[in-house]
Order: sequence, then structure tokens, then C-alpha cells
Amino acid sequence: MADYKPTLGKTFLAGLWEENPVFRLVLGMCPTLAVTAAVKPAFTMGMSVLFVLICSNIVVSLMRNLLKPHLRILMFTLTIATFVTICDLYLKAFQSEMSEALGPYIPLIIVNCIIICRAEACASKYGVLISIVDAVSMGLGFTLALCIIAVIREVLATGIIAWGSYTIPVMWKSFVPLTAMSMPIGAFITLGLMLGLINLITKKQS
Amino acid sequence: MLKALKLFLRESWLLIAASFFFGLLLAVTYTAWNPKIEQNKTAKFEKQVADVVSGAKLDASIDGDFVISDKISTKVYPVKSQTGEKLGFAFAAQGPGYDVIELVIVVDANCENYLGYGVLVCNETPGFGDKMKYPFFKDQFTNITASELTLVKEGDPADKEDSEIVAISGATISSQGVVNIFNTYTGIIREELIKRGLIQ
Repeated sequence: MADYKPTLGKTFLAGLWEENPVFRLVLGMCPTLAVTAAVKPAFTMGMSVLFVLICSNIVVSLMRNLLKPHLRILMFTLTIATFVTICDLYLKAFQSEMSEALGPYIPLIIVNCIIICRAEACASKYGVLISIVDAVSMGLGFTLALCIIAVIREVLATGIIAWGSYTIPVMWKSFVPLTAMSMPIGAFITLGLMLGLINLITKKQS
Repeated sequence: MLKALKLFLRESWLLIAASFFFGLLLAVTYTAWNPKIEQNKTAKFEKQVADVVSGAKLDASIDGDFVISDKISTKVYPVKSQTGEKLGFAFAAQGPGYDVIELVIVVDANCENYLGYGVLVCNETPGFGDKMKYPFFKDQFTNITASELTLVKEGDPADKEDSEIVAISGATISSQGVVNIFNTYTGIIREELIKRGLIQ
């Protein structure tokens, strides 16, 4: 492990596919299930996690040589909580409707395993550049996974994709919306099917 | 003693410095964005009142806070029509459901009838408690006598006594929370309005 030196390219691709936080590591399940009924809140959640990941990875990486082992987790939590609070305040100020739609799930980013996992596995061991690339990769991978699930659920539940006042009709006119897809059961079914599909692809690849 | 202090500082200086830095960062951010957040809250408050009483607008709040309990106070706003006719009063009210529920309650000009309510904050269970935002529950509070309300678990919301509120199915705690908020605030607000000579 001590000899392992991650390259920028490998680190970037890891979060998108091989170590995708949702589909491969099965982390961050709470927002994955809770905010994917529509694309816009899912995207907002993804961007919020991306912001917190980048900021916390930078700070943790900068102070990695100063960290005392017994205060490590405390310092991570302090750092993450600060940036989550900033993100929450930003949404309340400039995206108030989204802030309401996401409710407690933005403050809950503090306990999102992805962020503390990246702080522990990457930022506390490597330099700032690798940590930023890792954060961008994991954040984009998380956003991508959330958006894929949200597109499937929103299209099947409503037949359209809505983004603010814009709506894109996707299904045919006589399409009967599957309302259950916008409910929690829809999230579990979609996530389960996606995990199955990803496992199938991975098995075939190997 | 000095040795222990040195050890404490050596072990925890980073935590102390980081806490100070992050605290400062949050204070600056909060100071910068809080006016916008307050502006959003006011806009939402006004929109909720306009939803309850169509076309209504709010006057400046009545001077001084209305004290509800040791820890809670609220402001009361006169509600007027576009032509300036006095329609009633609106005030923010909060209380516990599963989480904290915040409502805007609108009463008529004599504080004798409820005109309705709007929801400012509701993190109750989606599909159950959050149905307090839906008309079938909200309408039960529209144009009823502002007396002590009682929650009943069964009944027809469209055909009930004024003082009865039919609970949301599967969300008794949230429904009771809303009823409790009405019961807690209204009497105190009415007494205070009488004291200040704003109603008789």
C-alpha cells in the first residue's frame, strides 16, 4: 500500500465506473433513495456533494501531515460539517425551492459515508492535486448515478422530465404514468435493477 | 499543571485552530447570505398568506413581539385587501409534530374565525404527515370559529363540527401537532390584540 502511487487518469476514472460510490461501493444510499424522484433535486444533491467533497478533500489533504491519529475523525467531521453548512446556507439563499425540496437531506451530507471515506482513503494520504481529482471523480460519479436513477423514475412516474418551468415530454401520449415509481418503492426497485445490471456488466467484463 | 497544559495544547492545537477558522468562515458566510435568506422567508410568508386570502397583502408587523411562552414569541401582521380593507391578522406559529412544524395562521379582523393556514416548514413523513400541505386537510381550518380545536380520528372532513378536525390517516402525531399549534397560539394572540386595543 505504501508503494502504491495513484495516477491522475486512473483516479479520475475510478469514481465514474470502477469505484462508483453508488453502483459499486453502495455508499450514500440515504440520498440515493430519497431525492431521486425527480432529476432536478437529484442533480442539486449531486452538485452539493461534489462541492463538499472537493472542499473537504483539499482541506484534509493540506493538513494531512499535522493530523494526530486520535483526532483524525473529529477533524474530518469538523471540516465536512463546515462545508455542508455553507452549502446549506447557499441553497437557502439562492435556491430556496430546491432547499425546501431537499429538506433535511442537505444537512445529512455530513454523515454521508462517501465524503468521510474519501477523506480517510485518499485526502489524508495523498497530495492536493490527487485529492481534488479524486473528489471530482467521486462527486461526478455520485451525481451521474443519482441522475440515472432519477431520469428512470421521473420518466416512468410522469412521462416527462421537468426542470423548473421547462418540461421535456419523453413518453408517448397514451402512456399511463406508474405513480409508484415516484414513491420509495420506486427508488428501491430502480436501484436494485441498476445494481443488478452493473453486476452483470462487470461479470461479463471479467 | 504547566506540563499538562503544554500536552493539551500540543495534542489539540490543530483542532482549536481549525474550530476557530471554520467558525469564522461560517460567521462570515452567514452574515453575507442571511439577508437574502430572510428575504426568501418573508416572500414565502407573504405568498402563504395570499394563498389563504386571495389577493391579500401584509402591512408592517404590529410593534412588539407577542410572547407565547418563555422561549417562543411571534410577530403579528395586519392583513389587508388590495383596496386597503382590513381582512384580519396573520402570524407565524410553530410546534412539534415528528419534527418542528411552522405554519402561518390567518384569522379574521376580530380574531373570531380562522381563515386558514399555510405551511412554512414541514419535514413530516412524506406521504403521511406532509399531507398537512394538501387541501383536504387544510380546508378543514378554513372559515371556522376560532375556538379550541379537537382532533378526531374518524369522520368526514366535509361534514364536521367547526371545532373538530379529522386527522390525516396514518399521521395522527402530525395532525395533532397542527391542532396543538392552533390551540396554543390563538388564545394568547387574541388576548394580546384586545390588550393593545386592536380588536374588541
